Amino acid sequence: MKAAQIDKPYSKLTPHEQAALAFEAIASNDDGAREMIVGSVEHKDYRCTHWDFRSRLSGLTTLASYYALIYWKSRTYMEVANSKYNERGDEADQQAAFAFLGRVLAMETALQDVCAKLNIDVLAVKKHARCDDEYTPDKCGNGELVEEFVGLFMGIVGVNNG
Amino acid sequence: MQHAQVEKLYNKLTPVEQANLVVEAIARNDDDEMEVIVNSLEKRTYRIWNPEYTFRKEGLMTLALIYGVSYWKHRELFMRAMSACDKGNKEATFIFLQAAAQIRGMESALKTVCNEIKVDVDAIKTLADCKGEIDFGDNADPEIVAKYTELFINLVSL
Repeated sequence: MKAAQIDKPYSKLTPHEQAALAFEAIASNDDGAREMIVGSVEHKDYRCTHWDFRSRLSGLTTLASYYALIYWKSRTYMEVANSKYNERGDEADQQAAFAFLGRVLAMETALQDVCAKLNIDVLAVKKHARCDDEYTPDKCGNGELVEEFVGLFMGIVGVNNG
Repeated sequence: MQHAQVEKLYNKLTPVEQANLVVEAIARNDDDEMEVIVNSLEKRTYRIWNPEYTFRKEGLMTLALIYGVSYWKHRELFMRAMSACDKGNKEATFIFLQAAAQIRGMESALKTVCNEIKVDVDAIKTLADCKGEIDFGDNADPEIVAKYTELFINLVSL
């Protein structure tokens, strides 16, 4: 479903249709469409668990998934670069493999820092990320890259890294 | 300690501390502790977006992330097994064929689910960070497709 194909006001759509359109607007970075859709969603009184609880739970599970996604993607690219290096011996491929390894190390260090700040067991997050049985390096990694990941991870959990 | 006593202790924690404990309990597969914490949670009434909208949107975000994690984890396994094959490890052939079969099954299941819930497949793949990646072809194993279809439908049906 595309926002442009909708021939009735967003407010007449079902909540599931609105959610699908809002999701697609996020994926296409269309802030205008997203705001219009969100603005048309009906509000309701809802009895649920404390907002802070829901927000932290959702933040931690998203952090785990996001960590896993970039971890496995970086590992894949590292494997591709290594494989190319073994095949043709080009140093640029070896440098690329090192760069992806550096990224994985920086992520690991950042995750340890963030979990310590949030007072959560890093292994619990890695278990959710399905990479708890992977090799865990000592804390290391490029400082700037680590800081970048710390900022990113804290943002995902919704905590100001000030 | 009795459940009721433990529940009273959990009541004294902040909502953020309770959430941290829930994540740790899930990671340990500790259903008993999960249940006690969940029972101790304070409930409040909020004026929020229609829960059907919120749950579906959160479900779609979760689907995209889970799809991305599974996709990249199998891609990494595929690459690693292929390298091992190139070095003469014949047993690795089975592993990379399996990894490719999983990716084909996921792809097919995602198309089915997106068609059913009327969401653009590319939107999911964009947020899964795997749009435009290698096509592993059709001929997906029906059993693998069924497994992923059930998982994906459950994620968006919470």
